[in-house]
Parts: sequence; structure tokens; C-alpha cells
Amino acid sequence: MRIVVRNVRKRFGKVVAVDDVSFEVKDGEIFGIIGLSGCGKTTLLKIIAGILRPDSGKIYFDDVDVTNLALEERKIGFVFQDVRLFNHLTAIENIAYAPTLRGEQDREELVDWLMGFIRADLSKSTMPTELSRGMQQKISLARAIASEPNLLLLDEPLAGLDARIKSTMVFELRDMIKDVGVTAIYVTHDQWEISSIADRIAIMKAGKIIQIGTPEELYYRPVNDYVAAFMGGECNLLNAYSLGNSQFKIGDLIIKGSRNIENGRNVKLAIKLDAFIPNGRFEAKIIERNFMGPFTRLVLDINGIKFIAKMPSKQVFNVDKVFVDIDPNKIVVFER
Amino acid sequence: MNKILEVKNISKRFGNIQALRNVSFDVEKGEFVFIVAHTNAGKSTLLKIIAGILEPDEGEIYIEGENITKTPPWERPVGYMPQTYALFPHMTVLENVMFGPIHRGLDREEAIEKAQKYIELVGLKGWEKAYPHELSGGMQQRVALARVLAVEPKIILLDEPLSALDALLRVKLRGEIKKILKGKTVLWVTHDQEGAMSLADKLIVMRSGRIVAVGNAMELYYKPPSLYVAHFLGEINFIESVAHGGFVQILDTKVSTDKIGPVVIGIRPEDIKIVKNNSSPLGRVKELRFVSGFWRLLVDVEGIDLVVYSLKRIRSKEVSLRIRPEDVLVFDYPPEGIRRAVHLE
Repeated sequence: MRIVVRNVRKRFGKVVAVDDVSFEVKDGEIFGIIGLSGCGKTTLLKIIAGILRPDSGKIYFDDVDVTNLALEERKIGFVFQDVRLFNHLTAIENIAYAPTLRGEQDREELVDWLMGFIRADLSKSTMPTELSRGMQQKISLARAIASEPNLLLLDEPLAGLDARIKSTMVFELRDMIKDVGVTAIYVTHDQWEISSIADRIAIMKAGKIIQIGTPEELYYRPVNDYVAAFMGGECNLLNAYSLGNSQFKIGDLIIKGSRNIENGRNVKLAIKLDAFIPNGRFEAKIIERNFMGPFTRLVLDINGIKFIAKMPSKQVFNVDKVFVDIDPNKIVVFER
Repeated sequence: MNKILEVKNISKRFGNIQALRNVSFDVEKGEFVFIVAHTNAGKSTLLKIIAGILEPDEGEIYIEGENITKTPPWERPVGYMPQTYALFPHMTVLENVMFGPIHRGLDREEAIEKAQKYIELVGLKGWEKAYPHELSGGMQQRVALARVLAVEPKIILLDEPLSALDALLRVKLRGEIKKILKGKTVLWVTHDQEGAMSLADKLIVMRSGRIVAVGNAMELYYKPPSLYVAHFLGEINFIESVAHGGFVQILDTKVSTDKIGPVVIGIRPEDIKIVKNNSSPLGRVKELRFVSGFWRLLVDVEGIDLVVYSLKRIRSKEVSLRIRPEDVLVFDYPPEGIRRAVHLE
């Protein structure tokens, strides 16, 4: 199901919660919405679900205008941050709930399939309360999928889970959603999580969408420094000035950027942590290091200027300096 | 050896639940130690026992060689910061930070002096008269830190100090806290394995009330003592295999091992290299995801799915893979099966 949101506005008293928002979610796409709390993402979700009516604007499911349809008529599957399973039913009965209501003959088959795909050792009598919260969320998703919804809405489904559980579950949720091919909208404030699960992401700030793109586009081609800082995780934001020819000067350091700006203009450079490539021509002293598993976070001193970098751990073992190049494609140039 | 804290054989039971089983470890002066574990593993209980808020069923706690197991919390030379910060809402920043020193017998003048010193250290000079609700989450947390520091404890105990904050702020504050606490003896409890690895001098991994690993982060990440620790500290591929004749094989890489029979081979995604070499085994790229600065691929090689990290975008549908023998881990096959052996909750 293709979802179209067109010029949606919603105001609460003086606060414009959703300000002229338009976007399209393709059939079978996982579309992410990310923003800090209060940015309007939950209000937008409620409008798409039919829980709230917009002040103006339209919502279409395929080509049907659903703006005035009630929640029940939109056929939406929900997964919320707080688990809302039926605790008087077994885990399996929870998953089979909608197929049972529909009186389907082949529901056993559907439930078997879903069980295989949540990869769980559940017995027929396992109750939701006996399960960990991570597993409960997987059951919630399986139940939502079994209801054969037009659209899945996931609102912070992994919030509050341990970091390591979250990082394994996010890929499992993606597999489950992609295997059935249902269209989904996924809301969170965690940039790592959204990059791991969504095909495209909309970044919201103060009721507006400021950029829509793939995780890669938002990371390497952010439209402004807000997006750069938000989607890039940590980022080096430095003032510099242009020397023309895509060259920029920071202190005594001259580096190449991703685009040309008129000579003499002041710019701001957003340099990604992964922009630093080993075996290059700049000598970088390692002032600080934090081992993070696959990557090590470094504070580098290049010609007296400090940069934060992330490099493969095994390449920076037991050394106090490295020679690096700075990848121009991983430097975003903003005019000041 | 200059031991500040010694925890000896601590056990604690709540009704039917064995929260802690025979937990022992040391913290040396100036060490930054992390206890990292899943929710409900007993790590907060352990911290409360060290702080004196809970009594252990068995075992002892020593600080600088002195048995303090029966000492009331306010007489212990520890600074404990609970998860919720627990600032006094009706007191100003200054009053909050003065509270500990006054409680420990300092007069008002001295307490103010001490409080001001630590308020400045955490970067809140000028905010002395503010109330907690006037501060952001990050600032409240720094007040809590100043309050703990103001009693000048021998060891600082932190229970998930960053859990209430969002991801971006968390990374930033993690570094700040480490700077503020530089040179102090710290025991920090968290479920965030990445954060723990990045700051710890020593890492203690717990699972279901027991300590399952102690060591430095790199050691435990590259040479984990068990499947559980390997998986808990970061994404890893596990492949079932059989060792014979002193070798196991993964793709075309032969690894020597002293194990015989069923084994599990472990290889980290960043240690599987994509190479331009036709003689290396070919795999089919099933999925490609960009995850903050690197690409995560799912590659099917001869029926085995491998997760592979790449710094560059891979555009071809097929890739050649190479694994170096020194990057391969070999574990005994766990009797309970791999999934149960690594289960995180």
C-alpha cells in the first residue's frame, strides 16, 4: 500500500505541531520518522492512523482519500513502546488473534510461519508475561502483521531495551517486516536505530520535515548542520574559509571539500568521523582513544587542530600517531 | 597493588530469585571499572550492597582492607549515584551539593566551600541558586555528580547515569563524565556495552547474577572466554563446525585448534574482508545496509549467511571474501545450543 501525506497541518492552541508536511511512502517501504521529543512526530503518526484529524491536508492510502476515515476503517497494525499484548491469551493466541476473528481456515499455517520467523522456542501454553520484553515486542509485531494491515505503525518499539538487545532486534524486526512486504512507518529518536531499519528517513524539527533521504544521503549529504549533527552522530563542525578550487583553510591546515565555494567566503565544514583514511599525507597525533569494538574513536591532532575520528580498531592498535587523508566526499560544506 | 574495594563472595536472594551468586572482584586505586550486563542481571543490587543500602546474604565488602559489610551507608567512604539522580527538588544546586558534607559533620562554611569547588568542577558555576527543575537533564546529572564528589569518597559508584538521556547526549556526556572523574576510583554499572568498552580500564561482564568475564575491553572483545561474552560485546558470526586433525575450516581458511569434535567458529563482521581476488570464496550479497559510517552486508557463501562490515559501498551482487586465521575464534559447541548459550535476557 502506498501512503501519501499531503500538506498536513495540525495546531494545538498556539503551537503548530505539524506544519505543512508532505511525503510519500512507497508500497513495501519502511519509512522512518526521526526527531527530538516535541518535534511533532507522534502527532503526525496519530493523524496517519486516524486517531487525530488534521486541520487541513489530506492522507491517501493508494489513491483513496482516507482523511475522514475512522481508525478502524484504515486497517492499521500498531506496535507501541509499551507492550500491549492480551495477557489472558497465550503468546500464540495473541498472534492468531486477527486470523481467528476472520475465521480463517489456514491460520495454523500462518501462525506456524510467524513462529518460525520470530525464531522462538515457544510452547503452546507460553503466556506473554513469561517472556522478556524484547520477545514480547516480537510477538506484538507478529500479531500486527497477522492482522494483514494496510500499514504498520511502529512507535519507538525498542525504546527502553538494553543496548545490545536493541542492536540485534532491530535487524530481526526489519527481516520480519520485509519478508511479508508490508508498508511500515517507524518512529524513533535514535539515529542508529532508524538507519538500521528504515529504507528512507524523514527528519522532523518543530513540526516541519527538514529532509527526506536514505540513511546514506542524510549522513553524507545533509541539507544543514542540524541534520549533519543529528544523523551523523558525532561530527566535527569547524569554521573555515574558502580558497577556491574546493579547497578550504582551517587554521594552518588546507583540506579539500566536496564542492567549490567562491574564494574568501566563510564556510562551516561538517567532517564525518569516518572521513579519516589511513595511509595518507597528514600526520595525526592520537591524543585520546576510546575502543568501541569494530571501531576506535580517536581524538586526533593535525597541525594543532583537533578532530574526532573513528577508525577500524585493528588499524590503530598500539600506535600514537597515524598518517591520514580526509575524504572530501565525507566533508559537507555549508556557507555561513 | 593498591586495592580500594574488595568484593568477596557476595550472594543475595530475593524470595525465589537468586539475584547475586558468589560475586568477587577488586577495584584498584584510580581504576575506572565498568560492570556491564543485561537488565535484571543483579548489577544494581550489587552496587546497592557496596553502598550499604542492601545487606548481602553472604560475603563481605572491604574498603582499603577494612571490612565495612556491617557499616551503615552514611559512614561508608563511598559516593553512590542512583539511576534516578534523586536530587532534592526543594533545594538549590548549592544546597543539594552541600547536603553530603554537612551530613558527614562539616560545618556550614566548609560545606559551602567544598560544594562550590565541585560545582565548578562539573561546569555549573553560576547555577548555585537554581533549582533542579530549572536545569536540563544533562545539567541535573552533573549536579548529582557534584553531590557525590563533594563527600570526597574513596570510590564513586554510578548506576546507569546516562540511561535517562537520548542517544546523542549520551555519547557526549559519557566523555564529559570521564573527564570530570579523571584520577578518581570509579565503579560504573551499565547495560551499554559499547559505552563501557570505550571508557573502561577494566570490564566486568555479568550474566544472571554471576560474573562471567573480567578483563580489559580489547582483550575480552578479541579473545572472549565464552560465546556469551563474544556475542554480548558486539555483533559476531557464529558458524557450527567440526574440528579434526588439529584444524577447523571457515571458507578456505584453515585454523589450528586443540579442540576435537563439534565446535562453534566465531568471526567478527569487521574481520571478514572483501577482496578483489577471484581465487577467494564467492558470496552472494543478500542485503546491504548503510549504518552510520559503514555498510553492513549479509552475504550468502555456500549456504552460510555471514554479516560483513565494509567501509566502502559494495555495488556488485557477488563478492570475494577473505578471513585471516588469526581473527578466527574457536569455541566448544555448547550443550544447550548456540541460541540459548548467547541469550541476552
